Amino acid sequence: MFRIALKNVLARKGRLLLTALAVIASCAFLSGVFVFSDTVNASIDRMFSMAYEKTDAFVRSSNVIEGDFGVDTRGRLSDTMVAKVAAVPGVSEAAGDIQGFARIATAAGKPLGIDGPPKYGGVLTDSPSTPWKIAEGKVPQGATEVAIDRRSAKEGKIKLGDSVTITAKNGAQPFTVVAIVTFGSQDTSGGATWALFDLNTAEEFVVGEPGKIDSVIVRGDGSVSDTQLKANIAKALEGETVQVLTGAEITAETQNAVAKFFNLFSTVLTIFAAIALLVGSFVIYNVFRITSAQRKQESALMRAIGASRGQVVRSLFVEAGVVGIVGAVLGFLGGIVLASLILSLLAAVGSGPSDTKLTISPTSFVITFIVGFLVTILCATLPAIRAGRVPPLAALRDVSIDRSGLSRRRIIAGAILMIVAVIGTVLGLNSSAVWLAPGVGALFAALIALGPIAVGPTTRLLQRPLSALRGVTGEIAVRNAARSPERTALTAAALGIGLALLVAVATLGSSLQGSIRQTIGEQFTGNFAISTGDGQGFGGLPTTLTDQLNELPEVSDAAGLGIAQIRVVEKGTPKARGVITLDPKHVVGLFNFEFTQGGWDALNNTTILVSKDKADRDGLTVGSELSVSFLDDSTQTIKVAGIFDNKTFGNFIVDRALFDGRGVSLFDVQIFALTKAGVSEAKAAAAIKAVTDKYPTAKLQSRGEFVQAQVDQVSGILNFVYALLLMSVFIAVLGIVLTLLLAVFERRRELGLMRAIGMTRGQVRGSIRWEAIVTAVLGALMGTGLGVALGWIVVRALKPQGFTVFSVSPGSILSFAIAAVIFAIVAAWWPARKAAKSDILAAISTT
Amino acid sequence: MTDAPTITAAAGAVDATKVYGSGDSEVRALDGVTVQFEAGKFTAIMGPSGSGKSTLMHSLAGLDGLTSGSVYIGSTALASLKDKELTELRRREVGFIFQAYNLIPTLSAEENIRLPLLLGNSKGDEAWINRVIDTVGLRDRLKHRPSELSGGQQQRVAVARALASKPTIIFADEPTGNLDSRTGAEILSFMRLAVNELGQTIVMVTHDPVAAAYSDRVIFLADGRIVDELQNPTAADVLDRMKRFGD
Ligand SMILES: Nc1ncnc2c1ncn2[C@@H]1O[C@H](COP(=O)(O)OP(=O)(O)O)[C@@H](O)[C@H]1O
Ligand SMILES: [Mg+2]
Repeated sequence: MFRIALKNVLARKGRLLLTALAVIASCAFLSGVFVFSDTVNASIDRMFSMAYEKTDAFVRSSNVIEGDFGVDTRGRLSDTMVAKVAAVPGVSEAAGDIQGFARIATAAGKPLGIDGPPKYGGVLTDSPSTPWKIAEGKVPQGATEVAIDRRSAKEGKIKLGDSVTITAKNGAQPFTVVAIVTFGSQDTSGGATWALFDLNTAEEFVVGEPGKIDSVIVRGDGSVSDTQLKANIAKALEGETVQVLTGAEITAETQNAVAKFFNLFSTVLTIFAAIALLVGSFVIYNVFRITSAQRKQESALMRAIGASRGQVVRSLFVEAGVVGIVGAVLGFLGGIVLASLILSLLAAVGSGPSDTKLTISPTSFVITFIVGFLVTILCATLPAIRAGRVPPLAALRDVSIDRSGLSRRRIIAGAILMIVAVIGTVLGLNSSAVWLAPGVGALFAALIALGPIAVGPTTRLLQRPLSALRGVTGEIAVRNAARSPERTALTAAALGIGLALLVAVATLGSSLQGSIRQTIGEQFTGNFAISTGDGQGFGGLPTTLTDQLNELPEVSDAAGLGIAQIRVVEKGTPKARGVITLDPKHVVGLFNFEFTQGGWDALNNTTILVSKDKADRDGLTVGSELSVSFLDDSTQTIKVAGIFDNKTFGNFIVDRALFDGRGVSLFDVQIFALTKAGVSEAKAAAAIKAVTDKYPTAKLQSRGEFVQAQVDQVSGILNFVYALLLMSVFIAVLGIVLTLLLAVFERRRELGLMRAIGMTRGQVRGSIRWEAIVTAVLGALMGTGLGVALGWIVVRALKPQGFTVFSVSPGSILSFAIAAVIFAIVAAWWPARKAAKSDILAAISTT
Repeated sequence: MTDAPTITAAAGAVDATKVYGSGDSEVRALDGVTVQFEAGKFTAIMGPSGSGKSTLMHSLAGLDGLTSGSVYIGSTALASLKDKELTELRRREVGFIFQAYNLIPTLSAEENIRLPLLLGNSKGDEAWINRVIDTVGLRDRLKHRPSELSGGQQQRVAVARALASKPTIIFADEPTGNLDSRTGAEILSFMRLAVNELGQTIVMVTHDPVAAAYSDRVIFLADGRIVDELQNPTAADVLDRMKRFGD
């Protein structure tokens, strides 16, 4: 039996491949994500093993505050440490190193580098242990010379001898490019930009504190092992707040830190591939349903000649198994192609690793294979069981109209699911959020259960306009879409889920944008904002800019907001906490938010402002004392000076003077400015612009422009999510292709008949195309309804997190619907072609 | 046998040859057939299985091409037509009745009847269509789907569809092959009626001498050639001839 079934499957390779297409596509996305992640991870590993390849030991401050996403802030060392390390036995060379923020801009003022990767300032020496290779020029010396990475040089078309403006801790200054360097054989490391100076210049300009360095890079003389070298140095530096690592340890740590950040990104990609797999499972299930229905006669015949029910079911499982294996293996290979396409695409636009040697791990194959195989078998279960129920004397009718979609049971199940969805949502929004999971799950299930019931009314709705528009072709298309409601509904539901997520994300986005508009509009009362396009969390605008703005006679106040990490003792244990830094002398009239206690007035370098949420949670009031510690290991007790009711400023606000002399490079991430009374906005703008022009990274915006820029930032994220959801939409569209192809196959006789009695090829194509459009419209309706509902639920659930506005984006919904219809037309192309080519004679011959 | 087409012929073939395969496996399904079908007449084509009846009909109807020779409907030679023109010609000038699977399952009886007209976006002659519907006796079944009709009723719908566009010629391939003899007789009477009273031209392929007896003229095919013909045949005549060709 097994062999017969297997033979049967392999005899029809065309159908096998067709059935497997949905599995292939779903697995391809999954394995594509895996291969992409593995490749990027491996290239990260290679790159960062190069950075410390010639380093035998590494010395840095042991004082560290852990930040989010593994981005720690670490204390600095005195540069006298270099000489101490150099004197340790076994050390042949010790060099001070710095890794701080520095942004390169061309002489014309164009900042270099892409969004995302950091912009570093560092040190270049002629030591043999440096990972940098000088491609052209010489090692920079003195306060006006710089070396830059070749990627930046290419981007800014910079040649040796050119002048560049570099913005770092100490402001923006012109430098002469004396060298262009490469990182090993690559233009730069990790997509970052690099400005390299001699040690003194870097201390002065990048760190902003002469005598401070980030680390000491040590090369041994070969007399002792790296571990011994590390021990020697640690012993010599006993009592200092330093940490000594071997070259291998610092390499592994750097690799892990970057990988950790990247893995977050891979996880996001994997989630979207999983969503695509979910959509794919609808398509796979539908394909099995259709093919097993088409084989009803074959199954009946097998039963008639003595096959047991179990044998019929098993033979279908054999087919599903083969489809699963073939689909998963081909899908995995497809994923490799996909990953390499994306990698070369990324390389072409200048991001992503430049060495795209694919890394294909056995684990990704095993996971893809198991998932693909299991999903296929699972999707085939119900159709297989159903095929087993075919009675041996099943009517050998040619085409039966499938009415399975309209049973009473379905309506009842749908209604129950709907009720569960409503109850879950209501409970979820009002008591505990855990109820949302079953609520939203039931909502999706209700859609699937009720979908077939919606097919009738929807097609009836479309019937009139379509037959008016397209005559009998449209009429036939609508009837065909309605002839097996469950099939059409499943195909539409796959598209519907993809669209629902798009619509939900769009709704979330437009609600967030509305909330941003409202919140910022209410809270930011200044006239101008100065932002940096990039560098959140790492670097930003030098605080000198804010100080210069405050000196302008046209400006009443300019508040520069920075972000820093401190440790706050909470319930006895020090916790790493982010704080907003600003100069409390210059906040008047810029921010409009409520203090439930205290206020700005009492904020100085011995006090702190705490958010209401935090204060409520920790039982803090004005006058409460907090013990905080800093990167240089100093500690201080500060008093709560006020409690503010605001969600955009985090939990803590401190005076930036709190950090004076504590070895921290403070930058402003954002500066807000208010025009002095009586000064026209245009005049103030001109005065401010004269200052900001000296800082190529500073972007002056009016209040309106600033609000718009914040709103636009959301659009950027939305577009990224849309792009990821395209995987699901692609599979849903593939679902339309497959259902239509199978339908064309099933209806070849009536298609031939219609051709015989006078339907032109064009009309045949048209009817298939319109059938696809009807399915897409159905999917769009489902998707819009579900998406808006989902968006509403999420926005309501996130209300405490600052979603103050619920707003649907009709423009986005309309463009998704139009896109769905266009995709459907594209999807119909192949089936329509096949249908138009259908063999008339074969169709009408009786034998 | 090689007369040029005359005005009274609704359709015809001149030296029609159709060869399937090549070399050893070559089959001459039609081997130089020249024939004319007079307008307003009911012609039956008979012959043993494999003699080329269906092939002849398919080429006459523009469903299949010839290897050599020509066919025409009215005064149009089919060989010169592109697929679209051929399709439109079938829609306007040709009616079909097949042995089975004649109807589109999603359309009602009435829609099936009007389908060729609807496909051409033409209203058709409403009085004529009503007359056709009444003639085949389908008035009370118009809203039914094919699956709700009996085999005989389905074939009557097919007959009505073939007549609806007042085609130049109607081709029927074993239209009663799947029906019991009583229902078959009913269908054949309708076809006869369509010729007598509605002035239609019908060409019917059949195995059945009783069916052939409804026609004005029977053409006998064997091995792709016309071997004989009978005018105003009776079932007994036909049976007699068939015996001679050893069906
Ligand atoms: N598509 C085809 N390919 C090869 N041979 C064919 C094809 N169609 C018909 N034939 C052959 O042509 C001959 C005539 O067939 P057909 O016209 O169907 O005969 P009839 O309808 O009289 O039974 C037969 O020998 C048949 O096997
Ligand atoms: Mg035949």
